Amino acid sequence: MGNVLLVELLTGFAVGGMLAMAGVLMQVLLRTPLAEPYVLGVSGGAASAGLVCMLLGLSGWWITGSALLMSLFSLAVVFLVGGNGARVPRERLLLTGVVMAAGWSTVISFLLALESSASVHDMLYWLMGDLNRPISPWWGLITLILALVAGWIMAPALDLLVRGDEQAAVLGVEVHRVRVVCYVLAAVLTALAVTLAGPIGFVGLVVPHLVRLRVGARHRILLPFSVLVGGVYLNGLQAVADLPLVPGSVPVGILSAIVGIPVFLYLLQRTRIGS
Amino acid sequence: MASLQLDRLVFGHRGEALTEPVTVEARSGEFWAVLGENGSGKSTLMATLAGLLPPLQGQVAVDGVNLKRIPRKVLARRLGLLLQHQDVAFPYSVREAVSAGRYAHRPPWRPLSRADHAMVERALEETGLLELASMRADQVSGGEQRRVAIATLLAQEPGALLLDEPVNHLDVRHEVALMDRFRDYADDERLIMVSLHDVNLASQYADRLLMLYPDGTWEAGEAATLLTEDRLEHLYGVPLKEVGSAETPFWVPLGHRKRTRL
Repeated sequence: MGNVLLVELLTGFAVGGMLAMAGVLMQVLLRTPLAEPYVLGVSGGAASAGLVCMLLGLSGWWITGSALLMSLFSLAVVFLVGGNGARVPRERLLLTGVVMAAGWSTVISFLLALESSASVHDMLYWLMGDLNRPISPWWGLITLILALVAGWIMAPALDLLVRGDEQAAVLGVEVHRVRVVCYVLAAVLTALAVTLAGPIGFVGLVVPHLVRLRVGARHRILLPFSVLVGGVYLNGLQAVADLPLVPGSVPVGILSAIVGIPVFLYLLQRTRIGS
Repeated sequence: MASLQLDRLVFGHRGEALTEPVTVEARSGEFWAVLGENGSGKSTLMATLAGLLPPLQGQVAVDGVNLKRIPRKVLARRLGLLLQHQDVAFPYSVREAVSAGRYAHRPPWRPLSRADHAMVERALEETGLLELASMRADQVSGGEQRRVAIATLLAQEPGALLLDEPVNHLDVRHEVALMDRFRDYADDERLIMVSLHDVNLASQYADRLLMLYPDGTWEAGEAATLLTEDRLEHLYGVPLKEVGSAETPFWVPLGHRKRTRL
């Protein structure tokens, strides 16, 4: 019994940490605190791929692998369609991602409509973001630790990258190299988090924002604290979902959205568009 | 200490050349001003010299080595560029923002050394930012953000400093202090290259000029010989008259009334 609880907590921690770190990396890539795996449609891409695998009866690494491919694809579209020049307004990148997210949710609805078996109910729960599934947290935790080491080494470069590609380049950053590493890391973290617990939104937005308020923006501190707070935050939300007064079994993704959407709107309202 | 060689350099955006091929050598200890109208390519030239834009033809060399073959980190210790626009979207303090200038001086896993910190403090002091050092860099005024960018460049300590319109948005006190500082740097055997729209700042501070004429031709050389009424009229498309004394020449544009009708 104690073991089951421990595994659940570790899973929650891994997923929350991965989502928070993916959020920080996407915020560096897009240079806006509004970027996040769910908002940019990266989670949606991974979830669609996972769903197709489930419908085909595939499992395990099939799901993870195809989720990773679609995460990479989804994020690539944001940059290729949104544009990647130094003078591309960030809002355009963000909007491209939001449209991608909308697109993926149509795909998901269609896929669910195709399936008529009783397993649709399980899939729906997974799609809303659910930690109440028998899953092993170890791959997630190992990936998270490796990603954190990479992020810790890159941290000074990330601090420069958020000031723009040109500024970072003249201060000595090999911009393309660092961007590619960020991009791959963000996609891997998102894909694994989605595989473990479905597309849980807004953790990557709320957590880095709160952490920046306390410890500032420097990535050497921001990254480890975001992972830590992200893990604790998601377990906290799960604990609330498990409270007896919450009716039925509310998936943790719903709670995360209830907290995340107001935070997103608040940040959006403070953002100077087109500056 | 760094020198810059422009070898039959043609620069521009998206294949569109802005000048004829430029061949110029700028050595350490020299103070260069790049003059030209809006759109004549001053910023494009600066970006090309810093390796942000590829040359359309010819090449740029730093200390005799083609810019293309120098890793960014090595280049950043020899050559720095003050960009015209920059913004900070995240809550860094002014001091943290300026510390970014030390990036090229250490491996990424090592924290700032005592010498790095001393350099940052000096850069803050020289730009008058010490009192603002703990404020958020994204919340200070436009002129102050400009000084943050300049302080970052000073902390970077490159041998050659390229400055794209460095005194825009600055009040007179900071403008003069900054130009004086750049003059000191040139006297200290660094290379300074400044793009300016103000010919009088150029005539006061620069000893060499690169003039980018609207028809795509160019001239480079001693400021004292290039600053003539004919050339400035060619450069700006309006007549300018020299006033003031021989030591401090001053140029004023003649208004529309005295201009020959087209």
